Amino acid sequence: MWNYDKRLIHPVSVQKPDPMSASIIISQLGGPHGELGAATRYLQQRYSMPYGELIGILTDVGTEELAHVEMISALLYQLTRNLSEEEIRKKGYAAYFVDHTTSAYPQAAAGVPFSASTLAVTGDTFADLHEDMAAEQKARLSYDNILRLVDDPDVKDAIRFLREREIVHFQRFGEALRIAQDKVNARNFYAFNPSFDTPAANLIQNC
Amino acid sequence: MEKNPTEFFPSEPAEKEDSCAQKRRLLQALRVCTFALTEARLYLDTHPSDSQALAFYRAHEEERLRLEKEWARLANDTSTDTPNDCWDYVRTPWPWQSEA
Repeated sequence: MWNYDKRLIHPVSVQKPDPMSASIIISQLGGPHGELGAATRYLQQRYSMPYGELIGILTDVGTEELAHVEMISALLYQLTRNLSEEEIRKKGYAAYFVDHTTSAYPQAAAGVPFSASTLAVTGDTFADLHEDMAAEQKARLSYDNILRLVDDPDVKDAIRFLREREIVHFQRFGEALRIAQDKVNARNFYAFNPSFDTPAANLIQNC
Repeated sequence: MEKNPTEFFPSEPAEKEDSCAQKRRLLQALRVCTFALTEARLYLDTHPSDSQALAFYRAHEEERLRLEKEWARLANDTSTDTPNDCWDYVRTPWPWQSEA
């Protein structure tokens, strides 16, 4: 179960509203490399993992991703407060505004609503762990691109924190992968799925 | 890893400060301590027998509890704890609304 701490994992304090930045940063809320997708991926993958270390890391990283969802949402809130109609129209935020006003609806910058089709939960330990490492790299690259497109130092501070966390998560998943590889049977050289081992075990014995 | 966790918020500040500055310093210390625990947690998930990491976790958890108590006392903020006259949780600002 989950507890909630009424505190952001890292402060978000944007002085200057900017709907243009918001329309880009929103991708890290509901886009293909976004935090909501990451949280969903890890929290759902953990149910079919065979080892406690893997379930633990997926639970804890998944929970941290929810804290990141909150940070992105805080950025969006602060970037779109106290806007005039003129500012909304001028800065190309109008298409989002018409259906969502200044709320934090999960969608990509391109307007595609959040979807689980952007993530995989395969039930295969090695496929899932590789998926997770790729996901962290994708999140990192999106943050790199955001840093290229926004100028506000307050915004950049929050984005840099989130970017660094993706790199740390990538390391942790790398370690999880190594743990999984170490734990499989020496006969399972090609690392078939240990979470659903009967068919794989038969396959190995017969080859 | 070697830094003494109680250095996050020494009881005696370096120079004289008003209660606002003290609260800010405490909040920052709490943030840093909590984050150190988050990080340690992720590390321990993949290194469960690392005794140094376990000691780090224990020391920082103790410090966090001390800081939470100190915060509750200084800020009169019981939003995470047993309420008194009012359910402060719904009265205090939400994290995205405050300055920091």
